[in-house]
Amino acid sequence: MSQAQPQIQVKYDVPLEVRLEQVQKLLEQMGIRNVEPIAATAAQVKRMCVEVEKRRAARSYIMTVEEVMSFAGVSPYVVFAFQTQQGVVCIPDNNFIVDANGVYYVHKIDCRDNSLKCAQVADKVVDLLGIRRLVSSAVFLAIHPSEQELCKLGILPPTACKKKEKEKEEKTEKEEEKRKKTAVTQEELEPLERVALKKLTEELMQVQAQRRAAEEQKPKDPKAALKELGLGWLADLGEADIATLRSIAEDKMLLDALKDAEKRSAVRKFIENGFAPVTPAPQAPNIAKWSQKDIELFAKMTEDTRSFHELVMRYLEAEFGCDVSIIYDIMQDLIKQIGGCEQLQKMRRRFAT
Amino acid sequence: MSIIAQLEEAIKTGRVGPCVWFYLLLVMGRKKQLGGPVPKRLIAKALGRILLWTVNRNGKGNVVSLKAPYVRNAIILYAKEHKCYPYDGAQTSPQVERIIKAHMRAIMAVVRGWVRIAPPCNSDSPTVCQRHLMVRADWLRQFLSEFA
Repeated sequence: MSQAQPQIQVKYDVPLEVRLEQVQKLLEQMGIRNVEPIAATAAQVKRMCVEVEKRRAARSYIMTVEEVMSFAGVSPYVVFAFQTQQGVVCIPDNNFIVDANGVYYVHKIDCRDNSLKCAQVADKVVDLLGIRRLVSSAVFLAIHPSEQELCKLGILPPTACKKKEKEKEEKTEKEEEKRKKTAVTQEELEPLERVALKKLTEELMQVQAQRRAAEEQKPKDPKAALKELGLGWLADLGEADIATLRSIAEDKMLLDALKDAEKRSAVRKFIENGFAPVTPAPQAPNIAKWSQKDIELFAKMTEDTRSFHELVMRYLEAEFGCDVSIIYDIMQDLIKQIGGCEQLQKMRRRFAT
Repeated sequence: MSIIAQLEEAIKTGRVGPCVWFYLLLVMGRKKQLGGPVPKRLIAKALGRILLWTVNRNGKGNVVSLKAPYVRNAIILYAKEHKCYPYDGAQTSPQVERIIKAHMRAIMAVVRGWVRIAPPCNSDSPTVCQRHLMVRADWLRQFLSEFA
């Protein structure tokens, strides 16, 4: 610092040491104690600090220290380096570090824990050194990125805040308009989509119902079905009988009947005999041995009968000489009153004795 | 069970009606109602069925240009021919056109994927085929019948 001081100090109204003391006091007031003062060349400072604004680097009129001084104030060799999460942000920034031969007095401040406080410090320092014109909003935002908080504390100029607010408002308005538009189209689309969804669901239901019906109709594996029913012995009969087995497996009534061992063996014999009848078919009664009177009676009774029940009724009529329906009703009432056929048997036995 | 899951199961096991593909393209943006996003393979399947029907119906030409208007018209024509709602009672439906237009980005993404794997339609200028989404009709027919 001492190398640079003799050249520049003459141009200042206030000696540099006095202002540096003020800076030191200010930092202490703000509660920042771990300030590392270092002396650095312009190249070192430029290397250390991040480039916040490229635009200024291109401006040709800031070329010499004198120009910087006339443009910004009186302290071109005092630099504050705020170490943030993103990098080291310098005030004044790289664009104003122009004296290649000068030595810069750098205050290195760690801002990684509390960048808002650093932004406040930067604001105060800028005021103290009178370099407001050198420091743009972008530099403060580089130290602490929350625009709202900086605006709230008055660190960012009100014009920038208003501009940002305006931009934000415009953006939100645009977004709202867009949302409204999409909402309108969605509302318009809804009825058709609802019907399409309904139709889609209906179609799916139909497909499922068809599939279910097909599954129900699908013949089960007869052998597996027989085994499930505990009739595995039928399944062992051979491939040739598969059609018969299927018909048996499908007929659950028949399978229930086949649980009887005798019937089962009969069916087995029937299948083993190539489906030929094992037991002789029931034959008509041999009425040739009957008496002539019985034959005539039987012939008379069977003449117009439509069922076995009617035949019995006619027999009763012939036997007792009464109207069939009366006998039938009396018999039913009697059996009901005495409590079933067993009681009837008992009564008969009692009458007999 | 979500509609998408049901649909996938129905496609696997049974035959679904022709309008299902059209309805699927109509409601493909409705994640909430469908119980999840429509998988790309399902969109591709629906689109494949519709385009296969169109290509088979249109016997003319060796090359098909699968540009957006062609695909859109194919979808609408398919719905009309199969009397899918709302074309079961109306001849035109601006609503359907609007919805299909809204879904064209997703639909064309599928189509572009097909064009990318298609053999060049013209040996002299293969890039033209890619640019104009042109594919050979016989290849498209074979590809879609295998794929869809």
